[in-house]
Amino acid sequence: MYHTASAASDPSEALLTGGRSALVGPMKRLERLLDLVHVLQSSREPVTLSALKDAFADYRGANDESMRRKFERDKAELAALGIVLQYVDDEDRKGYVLDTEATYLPEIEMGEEDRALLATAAQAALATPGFPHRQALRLALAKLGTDPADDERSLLRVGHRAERAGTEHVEALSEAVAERRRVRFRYRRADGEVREREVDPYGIFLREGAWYLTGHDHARDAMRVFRCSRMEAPEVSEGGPDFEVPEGFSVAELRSVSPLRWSVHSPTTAEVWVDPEVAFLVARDWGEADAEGVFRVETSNLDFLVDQVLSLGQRAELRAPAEGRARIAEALRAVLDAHAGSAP
Amino acid sequence: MSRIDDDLTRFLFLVPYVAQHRHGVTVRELEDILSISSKELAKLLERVAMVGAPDGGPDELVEVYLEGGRVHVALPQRFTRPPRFDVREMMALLAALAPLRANAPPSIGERASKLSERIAGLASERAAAIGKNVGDQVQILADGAEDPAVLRTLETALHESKAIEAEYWTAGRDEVGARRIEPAGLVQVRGAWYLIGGDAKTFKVERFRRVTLGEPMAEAPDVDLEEARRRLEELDLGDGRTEVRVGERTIHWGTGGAAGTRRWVRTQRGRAAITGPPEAREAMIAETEALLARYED
Repeated sequence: MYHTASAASDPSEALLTGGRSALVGPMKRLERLLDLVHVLQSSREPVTLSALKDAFADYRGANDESMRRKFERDKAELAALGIVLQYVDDEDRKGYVLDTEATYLPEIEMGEEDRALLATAAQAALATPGFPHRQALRLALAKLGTDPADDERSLLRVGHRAERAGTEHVEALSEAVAERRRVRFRYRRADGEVREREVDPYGIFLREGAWYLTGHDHARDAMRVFRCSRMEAPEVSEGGPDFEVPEGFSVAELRSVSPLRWSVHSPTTAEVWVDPEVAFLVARDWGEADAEGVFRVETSNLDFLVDQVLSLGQRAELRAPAEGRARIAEALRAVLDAHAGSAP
Repeated sequence: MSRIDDDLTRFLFLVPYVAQHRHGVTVRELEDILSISSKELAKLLERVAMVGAPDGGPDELVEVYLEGGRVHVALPQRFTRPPRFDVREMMALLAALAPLRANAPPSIGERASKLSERIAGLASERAAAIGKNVGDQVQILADGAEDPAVLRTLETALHESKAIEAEYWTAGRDEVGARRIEPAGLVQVRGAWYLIGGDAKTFKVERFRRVTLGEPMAEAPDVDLEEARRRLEELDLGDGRTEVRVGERTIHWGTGGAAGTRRWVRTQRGRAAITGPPEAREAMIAETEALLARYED
């Protein structure tokens, strides 16, 4: 049982001290791990296994081999959290030490401008629906001594409003990305087709208000990009890691790749006429138009091109392929349907 | 992460963090940073108070106490620095900085890149071992639709407090025209950069056809950038006369940007509709019918 040493009447005022006798199960393990860290970092000399066995009741009860196994499990658990225990094998010093440089953050000095930039970025991330590892971000900022409200004096603001649909999957999917675990889900394509997918997730990203997962699609044996809002019931495999991320893969590279080039279907060449007065709006993405003002656009994501053409309204016309024209007609009919009947 | 991992992580953060604050840290702040309830924090503090050498004396325990709603650590033992960043912390920090690293005004992009490199150097061995991609696997991607030369000029104008002369496509009227703008700041919303003018008007950077530096401004514009960001995020622009229904929500959109409103509604492919006033609704229907006529082969 725990007790408070000072008999303060206000529960918010108390000296907290511990008693250890009644700890069992996981709490006992937690206490052992923390004490282990404490002992190893406090000792001036490496600590041998036999000294640890003498010091820890949990280790004392076991024979040498099972004590060693227990210690190795503890060591691995601490390593997973970034706490590095090392064995020193010098002539006159043998035993374990805690590598404080590898374990703990060094003193960090950040200038005001760096702090303001990080605060601006973090504030935007924390306000983004679905942003994963929110808890970790808060903790990391506190470690850096940065408050998200430190952006007061900046001439810069950032916001990433995201669609709500699909955001509930993002945290679990980003865990799968971090732990390299395979995911399965039902995926509804833009044309309505629903299929079961099995994917090695290499990365997850937010672009223009929507979250996407990218990775190796086993059914197609190719890299694909999936919009999280079109996923149903994603399941993450147990255990892992299930795969290696290919050398050189980078989600950030997708920034320089237009969504037109995302592998959604086989590549096709579209022809789009654009009013020359506003052609500069698309020229960075589509290249040069011919003398008639027609762009020839290579795309493997026709749906994205359809959105671009729709946004230009009367200033543009998709001339080919026929499938794209049909999708635009369908989108425009949907707009008319939404406006059908008397206004509410 | 398991419950034990969570508690270990919190402990290893809490003791040095509180010890660094001479006047302690409020319970509220700790609950917020650690994302836990008061009850969970109380349990954690009790555990903190038990850490020390097994069978050691009371002076070998971490000493923590609560006073006036603040947590104090009087004896941190050797828990004086928090652990290096773990995988999730790295991912989160680098993902937050990602949209500012590329396709950003040059000095912001450079600063964000250097900061990201410094942060990556603070990873734990395990986080570093998981791969150099660790900070790259969760991303918020900027559009990259902006002309870097335009971004550079806008940033120079802001730093040197100069006006700009620009040719800009106004989506709300669907026309390209010349303007003089006194820049107040830059805002990035949904991956796209916007210039905020001295009169609080917003300009999407990718819509500048040409930008040149103008005369120095008499005084730097005083504009609430946070309010500008909020309005852009909420699509709360214009005078609010046009009513747009999006699912269950109704947005009041400005008639000053009638063509822009119709453009946005069109790209929603039936998920949004203009519900009023009647003339805005009629214009939407007429424009859509005219466009559809082009595609009904």
